[in-house]
Amino acid sequence: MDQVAAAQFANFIARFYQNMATQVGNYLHENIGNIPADEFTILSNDQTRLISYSNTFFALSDAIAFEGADVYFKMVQNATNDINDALKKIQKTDTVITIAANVIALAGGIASKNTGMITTALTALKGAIKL
Amino acid sequence: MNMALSLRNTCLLFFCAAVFTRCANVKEVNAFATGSRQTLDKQRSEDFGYYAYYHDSTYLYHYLPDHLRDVDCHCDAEKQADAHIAGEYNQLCAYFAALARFADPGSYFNFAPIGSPVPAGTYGHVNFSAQEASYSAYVATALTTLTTTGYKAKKIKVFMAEYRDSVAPLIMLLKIRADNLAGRIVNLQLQLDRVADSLISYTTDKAVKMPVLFVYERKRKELDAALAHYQQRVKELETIIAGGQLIVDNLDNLHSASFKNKLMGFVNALASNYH
Repeated sequence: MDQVAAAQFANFIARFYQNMATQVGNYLHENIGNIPADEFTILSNDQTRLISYSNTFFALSDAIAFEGADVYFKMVQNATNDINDALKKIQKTDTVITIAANVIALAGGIASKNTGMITTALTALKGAIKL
Repeated sequence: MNMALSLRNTCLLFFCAAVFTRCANVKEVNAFATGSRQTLDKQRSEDFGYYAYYHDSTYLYHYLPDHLRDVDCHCDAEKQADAHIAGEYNQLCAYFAALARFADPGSYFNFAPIGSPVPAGTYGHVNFSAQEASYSAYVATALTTLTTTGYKAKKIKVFMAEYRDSVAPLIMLLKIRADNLAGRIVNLQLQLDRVADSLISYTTDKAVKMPVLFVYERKRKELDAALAHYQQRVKELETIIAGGQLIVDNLDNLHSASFKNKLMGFVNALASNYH
């Protein structure tokens, strides 16, 4: 993967986390006032973390410093569409929280190039999506 | 003596005429290069850059600060990054001006100062990779060649070889930068929405709601406008990349009607955005 392709990959991941943050934001926007304050706080903080990871990947893309990223590309790419689709349909707050938490763990795995962390997060995500 | 000078001037005139009549003389390439230069020149002068982004970030990502100093923006380095990016646009403008002049010798071309290549390094939150710096340096070198001795080559292939090796990759990197900044503006909007929603929904003081709403509405409009500019910029850069690639792919076919029609499609797309 050359540097331009690596930069585009980082941009792709950044957009994925942005999409996740948007979905969580939409959920909060629709349900604010109807869900308990503690659940709102959890999801709101998760959204902040998702935005933060999205910004991290945009910064990585700018830096074009994401060498070797292609190893993780397919693993993450396969998961993204499933997660996005699932989030649109899920009505239960605890499921949203589980997905958001594991997506955040996934970002940590990608950022630190930790294959074990990525695999664990993806496995947990698969389980949560089926709930 | 006078006779010799006169003869020499005549020879020089004849040589210049020969050089320019042997230029490409493809008006469609000239139109594309002119449109690209105008578009890049417009993008260079847009004012929402890294400095403006980090200035806004300081406020929006710092929820409920204790003191005003907590949202001080130490963003001078980002101003330097913006200046470097403007320099890259300047180089690309000069390249397309040279190409326009070469493609149609009758067109006007001002050989303005090209500027120094962008040095690799970190400017606050903004990084210029060694690769980006090398593309910028290649473009600067190529421009010097193309605007002086390059004309003697009398071949558009010389121009397009430089395009393929350094100009196109630099435009691609600028497109990625523009797309990343557009993405970060969307994230700012998400953060703005989150904070405003939270303040409006959970405040116990109803007098707080309307000021929050007004500030939200104003900032949202500003960010919408900046985002629209950057989304437009990405589209324009994609058009320039596609048009340049079309010329590279048709170097032996520049006078075909099919090529000219396709290239004019890109010219029209750039023109519709420009006006």
